[in-house]
This record gives sequence, structure tokens and C-alpha cells, in this order.
Amino acid sequence: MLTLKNIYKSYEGKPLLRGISFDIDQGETICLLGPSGSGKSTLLRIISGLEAADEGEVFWEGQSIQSMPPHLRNFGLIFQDYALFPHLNVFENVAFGLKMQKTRKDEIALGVNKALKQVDLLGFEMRSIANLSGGEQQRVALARALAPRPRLLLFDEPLGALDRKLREYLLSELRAILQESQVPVIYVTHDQEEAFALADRVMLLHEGKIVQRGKPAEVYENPVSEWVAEFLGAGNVLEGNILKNGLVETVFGSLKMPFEGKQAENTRVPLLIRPEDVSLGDENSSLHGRVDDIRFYQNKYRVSLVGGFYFYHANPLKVGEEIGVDIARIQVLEK
Amino acid sequence: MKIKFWLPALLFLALFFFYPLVKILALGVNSPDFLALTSLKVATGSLGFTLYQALLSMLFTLVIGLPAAYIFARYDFHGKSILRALTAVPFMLPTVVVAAGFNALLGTHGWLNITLMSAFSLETPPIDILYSLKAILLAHVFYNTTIVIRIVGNALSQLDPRLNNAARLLGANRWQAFWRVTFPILRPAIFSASLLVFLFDFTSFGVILLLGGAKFATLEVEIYLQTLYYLNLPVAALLSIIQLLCTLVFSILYSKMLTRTKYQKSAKMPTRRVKSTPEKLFLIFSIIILIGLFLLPMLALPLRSVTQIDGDRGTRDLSLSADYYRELFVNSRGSRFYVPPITAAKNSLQYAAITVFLSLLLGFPVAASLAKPTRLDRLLDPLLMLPLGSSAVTLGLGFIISFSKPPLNWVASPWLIPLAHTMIALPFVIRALQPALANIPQRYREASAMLGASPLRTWFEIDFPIILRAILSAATFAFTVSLGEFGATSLLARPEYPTIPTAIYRFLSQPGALNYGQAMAMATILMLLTTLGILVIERVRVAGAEW
Repeated sequence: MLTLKNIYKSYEGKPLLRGISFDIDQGETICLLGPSGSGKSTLLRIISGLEAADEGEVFWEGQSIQSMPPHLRNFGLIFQDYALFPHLNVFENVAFGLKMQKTRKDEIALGVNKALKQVDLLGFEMRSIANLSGGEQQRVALARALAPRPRLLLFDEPLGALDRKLREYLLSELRAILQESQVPVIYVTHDQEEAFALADRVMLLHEGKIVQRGKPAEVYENPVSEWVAEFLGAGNVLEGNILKNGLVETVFGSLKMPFEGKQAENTRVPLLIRPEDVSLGDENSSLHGRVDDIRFYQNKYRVSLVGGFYFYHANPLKVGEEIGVDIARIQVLEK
Repeated sequence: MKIKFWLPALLFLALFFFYPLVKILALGVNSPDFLALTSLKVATGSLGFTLYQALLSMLFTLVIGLPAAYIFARYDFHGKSILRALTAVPFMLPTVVVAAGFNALLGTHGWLNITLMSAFSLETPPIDILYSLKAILLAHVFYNTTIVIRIVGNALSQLDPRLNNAARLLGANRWQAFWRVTFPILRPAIFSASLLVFLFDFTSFGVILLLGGAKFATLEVEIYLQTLYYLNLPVAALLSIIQLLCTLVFSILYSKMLTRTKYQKSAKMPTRRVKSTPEKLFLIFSIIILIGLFLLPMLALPLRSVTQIDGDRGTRDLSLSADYYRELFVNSRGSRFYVPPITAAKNSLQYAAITVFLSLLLGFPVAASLAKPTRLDRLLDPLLMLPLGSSAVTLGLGFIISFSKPPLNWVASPWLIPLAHTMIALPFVIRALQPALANIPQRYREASAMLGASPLRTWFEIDFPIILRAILSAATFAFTVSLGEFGATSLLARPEYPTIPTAIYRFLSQPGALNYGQAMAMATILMLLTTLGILVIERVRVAGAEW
């Protein structure tokens, strides 16, 4: 339905978006995941028409909407700070979009009622915006965006300002509402838990480019680059130096490479070793290190070695002890 | 160029504020009486009394205000928000209304004396509290307690309860914890509240003239007397200059203090219901005092204005009547007015309308310019706030001196009064407009666009209503300020052009039940108009806007 082709955008001479392309289908939820400053909010503003791209085009069902002003696009946008109108009460806020569509009065009342029911805020109609809690404001913002039945819903870090508990609660509510509405959704966040919980597809944004895209489980399972692995916190990312015979050398020792390396000898590659693929070994193990710190974590111990390498073990080890570890799996990443 | 936004207001300020001040100074310096021994004697006498009454008033205000601040910050009880709103109302009420209210409660024709005389069949009023220092202090406490409740209450409710707990755990007993931890943290708030209360008491005029009388000559009252009754302008000039210097010093002290009253927002002090009996007694006692102090005068006034008392000795019949109001429309013979008293209301409304128009006209461009402040704006802004700190009586004196001789001979013109009112209202108007003009975040317009509103529609749905509300509240501010203004008006109003406050003052200073009743009726009208104004301001306030 929505297609982005090669979007470029710079701010004050600095490139912010460098060739973004993707499309989104009916009922699909896409999460744009990236650290702050990665340009994800700007991309959302370009889609909504609040800002223009330097290059590239935005299409809706094949038609370019490049020159269409935001108020004709019928996209819903949920702002990070909600941007509820301070001079209107809850009802008037939610009714705003329907009013713009010149809906009849009784239908406006019905639409508002339906939207408030969806976000579980019936009875709040006459409340002033100033008297709402953060979570309530968030839900009013959602109802306001849903009421005019937008063709596309855009979320700009909508849960960012809320505390953790409330965030988790609203996240599950949001999932249910989005599934019910069948509207395509683009959801921008820096929080991977949020992204993985909501997304049909995740796109990772780094330095203005989509560095990886796919289903949440795929992305988590196969991070393509060192940056993605680090950003997702997938495990130990270390540098390896390729030796002869399919061996790779790390500061902790030499390891067998997982596949026939195309890389030439003496090239340096980033490796991902997930803690769940690591177990305690002995002096014959391929990797060795000295225990730096032991921390009890959930039902086991988090063991970290001097140099930062970590894994989990059922029993506590002694700090300072020299140990060997066995590695079940290594993933080779791109630089 | 942004200066053009400022030009009208600055010209106005120059002509109607600085020029009169310079004229006062010039008149003083050029007169041999300016620093004569007799003048200095008058000055030191009234300065001394001004400081004395301000200090006493401040202390009593603290005595009432600190416990009140404490109960509002600490306890939950029924009617808390209503009681808090009640304590804030007096601050906006005109001085003549407050004076009339206390008169209706405690005066010789007031409820307390009526009740006592009926109960004990007395011939003369047993209580003679009006026209004394006590009455002045009482009215000052009535006025300014809300300042203490606001400033100290805020500090109290932002006080991190863990600090006190930490002190207790470190071995301090209750008293030590209070004295070593809680009090030092609250001290700046208490000081700045005290200073502000002191400043208001120092510059108080209407309350002292109406409830104390001419024998309690503070600087303000003395300026008034020297100008209108002794026609001794050099002495009035000397007093004005002393007054201005003192206010300047206190204001600087206050703003210095204010910078130290910044609290980190931390864990908020939770409020709770009272538990122990002593707490309960303390709370009930405090609430009774607050209701007595704040509700009774405001109830006494309207009730007294519709109560007729017949029979003078022994038998007294109270009856409901609108006679006092009817009398306002009659141009009675022997009255000091040449017009029916209701003309005062007409004049006041006209002046208020002109004040609204002028202050919006001058204030709007300034507020718009301040919305996106440049260095020039920041430089000019305090200039326009100056009239806030100076005394209205001095402004009136300055007008009389400046505009009574050709080429600016306007003293006979009724226009001087709305001009003075505009000068006084302008800072309020600018402050009311500025946040709305400054704070319409782009996000609101974007949100509106995303919901399908065209740019034009967005202006009508978002910008315009928010600005309109600000204009409405600014206009109401100007309107109520003008309606109730007494200081400058008392010097400028000519007998044939009375305003509501000057009419009330004249009625109150004449003997007789009818004059008294008409004062009550007129003050009730003013009180209703002002309350209506306050309600409008509260109603149109845009959520989240800071005033």
C-alpha cells in the first residue's frame, strides 16, 4: 500500500537518511528500530507529509503522494508527547478528525464513543486534558488517531515517556487494538522489546540506512553486522583474525571457523558468540580466560572473563580462577 | 525591526509613567519646601508608621498563613479545594470591597454590632474596631494570607519526606529534625513569602484609608492627604520619592530571594487524613479560623446590602429590602454628587472598557514580540513591568503635576483615569497574552494537519481559539483592575465623574444609615463584577499555560 523509494534527507548539511526504501501491506505492522539520532522520526515525518524528502518518493497504492499536503493523506500520527489540544476536552480532541471529515454530529458521537471504547476510556469525554495521567493522555492520543479511520497509522515512540510497568500494559493493549483495526502500522522506537512485541517486520535503522529487515525472530537469530548484534545485545561480539585451516584467532584463543571462509588469511572479522552457546570447559578447551566477576542472574550465574566475554553457568565460579570454555556455535558477522 | 512592536507601549510608558515621575522629582527639587525640616518630619513620621504597620501585618499574616500552608500541604479533608480557592479570592478583590466587607461585619452598622445590640438590648454599638490599627492589620491578613499559603505551601508539598526520615534515623528527635532539616529547607520560601507580604502591606493604600482613616498616615495616605487636602505638592513629591526608593529596594531583595527558592522536584510529600486527636483539633481549629476570616466578610457585605434596619432604640426589625439599590438611581438633594450614584457604575464601566481597549492595543504587539524573544525584547521587558512595583497614588500625583498645565492640561478631562488604569493594567495584560502567543507548539498544528485540517482550518481550530482565550483573559484582567482601582483614581476622579470605588469611599466616609447602605450596595455590585471576572479568567485559562 505504502511504498518508499530511495528517500534521502539531510539536516544542516549532515546526511540523516541515505536511501530508504520499503513497502508495507494491508494489516501489517512494521517497526523501525534504531538509536536516537538515526533519523527514524524524520522518516515518519516524511511519510506523513510534515516534511519533504530531499530525494526519493513516497507512493500510496502506486500513486505518488509527494505533493499531497498532510491533511489530505488521512494518515494517523501518534506523537511522542501526544500533542493533545489543550483548549479542547477529551471528547473534542477525539472528535477533531471526524469533524474535519464533515461527519454528521450523531455519527461523530458514535465514532468518538467507539474510539474511546477501544482504548477503554469511556466516561472520560468531558475531562480536561490537563487532568489526565500520562497513560490516559497516551490512550486519548491513540483514540484521536483511530477515530477518523486513517489509511495508515504512524507511531512516533508513543510509549517513550511512560514508566516501565505502564509501558508493558499499554503494549499488550496496543497489540490487540492494532490487530483488530487491520490498519497498516509504522511504529518507530528505540526499544527492541517494544519492536519485537508488535512487529510483523522489523527494520533496523543505522546511520540513515536500513541495515537489516525481517521477522523479529529472524533478525534476532541472524544479526548481519557487528552493529546490529551489539544494538540488539545478542551476545559476545569479538574480533577474530583468520588463520590457516579454517581457524580463527581471538584474544581468548583459537577457534574452528563454522564454515569454509571465503575471507582471505589475516583478515579481521567480527564474531558473535551467544552466551547460550558457551559452556564451562577444561584445559583442553579452545578458549581460555580468567574470571573477572560473578553475578547471580535469575536462576544461574553470569560469569564474565577479563576482557568482557560472558556466559551463564549453573554454579558460581571463583573470581580470579583460570578457566576454559567450550563454544558450540560461532556466527560470523559483517563489519 | 522588532522595535516597532514596542514603540506604542514605550511611548505610552514614557508619557504616562516616566514623564510624571520626572515631573514629581523636578517639582520636589525645585521647591524650597522639599527638604525643609517640617517636610522631613512628615516624611520620617509616615515612613516609620508605614514600616511599623507593614511589619506587624506581615507577622500576623505569617501566624495565620503558616499553619494554613501546613494543613493544605499535609492533610486531606473534605472541601479542601473549595477552602483553598476561598483563601485566594481576596487577593483579586478591590480594596474598597474588602473595606466595605469588614465594615459590614465589624462596623457600627455591621452584623457583629447589630447582633450584640439585639442580644443584650444595648443602645450603642459595643464593638469599636474600625478606624483602628487592628482593622488595618485584619484586612492585611485577609488580603495576603494566600501568598503565604501558595509560596510556603508549595515548598512544603515539594519537601522530600525522606529527608526528615533520614534525620530521624541519624538520631535526631522530632524537634531537632524539624529545626535542623525541615526549617532550613523551608526558610527561603518563608522569607520570600514574608518579603512579598511586607511589600504589599508597605504599599497598601485603600485598606488603610478606608479602615484606618486619615489619622493612620502611611506614606501612601500622606501623599494623598498632602496632595488633595493640604495642597502641599513638594511634600507629596518627597514622600513619593521615598516610597519609590523603598519599593525598589524591597523588590530587588525579593527577586534576589526568589532565585534562591528553587526546589528540586523530588519525591512529593504525600497528603493524608488526620489521625490523632491533637491533629484533628488543630485541623478543625485552623479551618474555623480560615472560614471566619475569609468567608464572613465576603458574606456580610452582600447580606448587609439587602438588609434594612428599622427602629433605633430597643426594638430593631431586620427586613429584606432592595431600598439601598433603588436609592442608587436617585439624585438626592444635599448629596455630594451632582449625579445619581449609579452614574459612578456607568463611568467605571466606560473607563474599564477604554482600559481594556488601550491595554490590549498596546500590549498585544509587545506580547507577540516577547513570544519569540530577542535580546532587545529581554532588555525592554523589565521596563514595562516597572509600573507593577510603583505605587498607584504616586502615579496619580504624577498625573496631576504633569497634566494640569498647558501644553498638557487634561486634568479636567475624564480621560486621565483610564490612561492611569491602562498604565497599571498593562503588565498584567502582557503577562496574560504572552504565554499563549509563545506556547502554541508546532506539534498542535501538525497534529491538526494529520487529522485532516487544512492550514487555514488549523488556524481557526487551534491558533485562534487559544489566542482568543488569552485575549479574553487579558481583557478581563484589565477590566477588573480598572473597575477596582482606587489609588490613582482617588486622586484623579473629579466629583462629577465618580467611579464605583470613589463613590463607595465617599458613601462610607459620610454618616447615616442610607449612605452606609448605599456603600454596601455599590460594593456588592463591584464584588459581583470582580468575582465574575475571576471566574471568566479561571474558565478560559488554557490548560498547561503558565501565568
